[in-house]
Amino acid sequence: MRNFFYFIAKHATFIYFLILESICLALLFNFNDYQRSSFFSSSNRVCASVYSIGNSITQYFGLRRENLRLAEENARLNNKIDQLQQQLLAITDTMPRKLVIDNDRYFIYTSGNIINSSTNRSRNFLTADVGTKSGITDNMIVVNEDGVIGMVTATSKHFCTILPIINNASRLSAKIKKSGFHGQIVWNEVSYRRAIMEDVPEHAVVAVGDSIVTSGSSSYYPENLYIGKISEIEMDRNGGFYRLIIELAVDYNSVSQVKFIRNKRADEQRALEEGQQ
Amino acid sequence: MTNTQNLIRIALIFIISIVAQLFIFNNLQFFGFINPYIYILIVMTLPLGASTGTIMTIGFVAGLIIDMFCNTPGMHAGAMVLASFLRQYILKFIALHNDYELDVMPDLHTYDTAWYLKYATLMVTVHHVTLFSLEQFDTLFFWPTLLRIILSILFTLVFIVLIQMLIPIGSKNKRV
Repeated sequence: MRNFFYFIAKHATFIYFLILESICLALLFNFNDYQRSSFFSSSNRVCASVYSIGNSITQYFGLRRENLRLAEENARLNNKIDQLQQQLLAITDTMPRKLVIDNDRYFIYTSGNIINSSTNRSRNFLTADVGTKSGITDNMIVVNEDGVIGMVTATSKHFCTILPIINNASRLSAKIKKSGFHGQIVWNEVSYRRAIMEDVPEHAVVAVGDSIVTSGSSSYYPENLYIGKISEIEMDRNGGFYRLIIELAVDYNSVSQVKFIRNKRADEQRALEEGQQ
Repeated sequence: MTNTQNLIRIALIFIISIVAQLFIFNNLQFFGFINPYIYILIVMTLPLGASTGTIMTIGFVAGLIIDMFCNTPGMHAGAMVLASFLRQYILKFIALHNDYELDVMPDLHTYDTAWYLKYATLMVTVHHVTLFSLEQFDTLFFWPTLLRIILSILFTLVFIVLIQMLIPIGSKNKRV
């Protein structure tokens, strides 16, 4: 017994090292569980407040460009409203009076600001300044006017963490808009402007410049959200599939204003699908 | 062994390094994927006589704080703990002929520049190789990772030297 205590005392530093390192590795390998708990992610209150202080200073630098972008979007939306109103008028004249219009919207939009983002790691994350209090829940889809950004993975009262396409844990089903062939978007960690589309069959019709959009086969992502366009076409090393290099529409380095989309019918759809199994 | 002045210095370096890492160095973009991690200065500048246990505790806490902000639980902490543990052996390995003074906080001006560069290179290499290996554990992009490691080590070293040329962070060498 005395030898045992002597051994402990002699190697105390090394044992302490092993204990600390085990804690780190335990945290690391249970990443996916902890990622959900907001204590260990940047949506926890302290981290998020520090980031929002930083952001309140740095956001002024991008204000001009952001204003321009919002003004452009406003103009586009106004045009759209006018156009739809004209169409609606034209239709209502010719329609029977008692038609019931389904006012129950599929998608609900919430807007927010990105207060922190990273683009130079393998596991990039974004933090936004809206949380459960504004109706943000896990698995909501995040977009801006350029295209898809990612999915909400953790929420706190006033903040949320977003898993973007440029994270090596991100998987997103997509299709080629023109030919309709499906594939999966992953990230190869090389550049934050590019992603890879895998599993596109050999017989698919692909061309450089084709638009890639969400496929809608996942109940979280609405269909036809713009992701990017094909910039290079390669064959998969194992053959049988294309490996397409996608130029992402979103510049993760400058995202600021974003929209969160909640698919109101997703829960209904998932409940139905689970019932079938 | 550790006087009050050193304690204040350690606390300041701890806070400033973390804030600088999060708000300046994490936002630097070199070729899109290189990130200098200068917060390793926290364990590098601890007094030469500090016990390995103390160094590991400080390194662990610093790493964990960075982890919480980067959404990478355990990754930075793991790299910091290993670098802290190996510090004693690195110091022994590059020792000059006379003994170290225990309450000196080493920086670029403490001994000669060659000594410090050896010290910094070894510490930064241990830290970065561990960090990037932990980050890439489950993926197979070997060559890009190696390139990232080497370039990040170089950039971190450049910044560590630049910082010390501007701000004297270590305590004065009494040997002169």
